Amino acid sequence: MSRKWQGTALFAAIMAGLSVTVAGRMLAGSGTGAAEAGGTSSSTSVTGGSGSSSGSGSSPRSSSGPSSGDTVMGSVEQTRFGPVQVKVTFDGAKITDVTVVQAPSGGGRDEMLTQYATPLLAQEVIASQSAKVDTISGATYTSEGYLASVQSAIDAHT
Amino acid sequence: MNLTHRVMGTVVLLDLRGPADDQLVARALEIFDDADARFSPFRADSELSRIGRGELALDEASQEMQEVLELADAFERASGGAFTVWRDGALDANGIVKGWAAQRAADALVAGGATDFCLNAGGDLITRGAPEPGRRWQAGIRHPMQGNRMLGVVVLGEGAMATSGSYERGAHIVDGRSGEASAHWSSVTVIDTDLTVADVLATTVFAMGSAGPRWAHEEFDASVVALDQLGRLAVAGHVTWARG
Repeated sequence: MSRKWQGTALFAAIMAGLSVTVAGRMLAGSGTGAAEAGGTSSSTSVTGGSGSSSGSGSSPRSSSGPSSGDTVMGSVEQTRFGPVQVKVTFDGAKITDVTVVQAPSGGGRDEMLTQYATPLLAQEVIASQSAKVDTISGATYTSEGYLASVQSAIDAHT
Repeated sequence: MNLTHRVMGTVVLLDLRGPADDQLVARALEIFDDADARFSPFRADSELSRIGRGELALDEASQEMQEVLELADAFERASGGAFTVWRDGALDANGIVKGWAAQRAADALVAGGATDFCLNAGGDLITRGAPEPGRRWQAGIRHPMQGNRMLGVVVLGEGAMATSGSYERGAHIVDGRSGEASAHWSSVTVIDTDLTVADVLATTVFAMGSAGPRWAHEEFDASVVALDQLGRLAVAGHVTWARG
C-alpha cells in the first residue's frame, strides 16, 4: 500500500461518517450520507472526525435516506487511484456497519478487502482493555520502558 | 519463576509456573543465543552473513539454516512474494527467526517436562498450560498509538501470538512485491497455534496491506487483529476477548 492509498481510505471513512474506530466512537449518520467531507489533513487520524480527501469526484450520495436497518450503497467515487465505493448499514440514525465494496487495487491485482470491526465488536474489544494481563504482545522493542512495562504486568498478577 | 534474557537485540521473558528445572530453562534460552549466532545479519561471522556474501553454499548450510530458509521460501510463495527474506540481494531472516527460535525453545521446555509457562520473545509469545488452576493465559495487545494502554486483551489459553508494527522503530516493513514500505496498517497481531507461523504471518499481513487479514485467515486459519493508520480495527477469524 502506498501512502497515497491512505487518502482514499480516509476518504471512504469520511464518507461513512467515521463510525468505527477503536475508540468506539459511534457517530450518528446524517440524512445526507455524511457527504460533507473535508477538513484538516491528517494521514494518521486515530479518532476520525477530520481528514482530507484525495478524491476528486463529486460528493457521495446515498440512494435513499437512511432509516432503520437500511443498507445504503454509497456512490462510486472516481479518485486518482481508482474507484471507491462503500456500503453503509444504518440502525435509525446510527451507522452500524461500513463495508468497502470497491477500492483501488494495488498493481492491478484483485484486492480482497478488509472487513472492519462492527461497533458491537469494537465495544467488546474496548471492554477487554481493562482485563487481567499475563503478558503483552507488541512490535519488537528494545527499550527499558517496555521491559519494565511487561515485568510490571507479570508482577501485577503474581 | 520470572526470567529475563537479553538476546537478538531484544528481551526474552519466561514466566514459568510450578517447579522450575534450572538446567532445562538454561537449555531453552540457549536456543535464542544459538539462533542469534547463526542468523544475525549484524554479525559478520554468522552463518547467514556468510551465505549472504556467497562464502557458504545453501546446500552446505546447517540443518537449522536450511529449515528456516525452506520455511521462508514456502511463505514467500504462499504470499505471492509479499513476504521475503531476500532484500536487495541480501539475506535478512529477522521476519522469521525470532518466532522460530521461540517456538523451538517452547518445544524444548515442553519436552523437558515444563507444563505451565509463557515465553515472550520481544513481543512475540507462546503459552502452554495455565497461569493458575482455573484460569487461562491472557495476552494484551499493545496499542500502537498509545503506548501506555492496551488495544485489547485476548484470552489466548494455549497458543501463540505475534505482532508487527511500524511504531516502535519507525520501522519499515517492506512489501516484497513492490519493494516499498507498507503503510496501510499501524499494527498487525496474528494468533495461531504455532509461533513461527504467527510471526511470519504478522509481518506478511502487514506487508500485504488491506488484503492481509482475510488472506491469513483463509489460507492459514489464523486469527488477525489489525489496526489501520486511520485507527480502524479489523478482525479476521475468531478471537476471544477477555472480560476480566
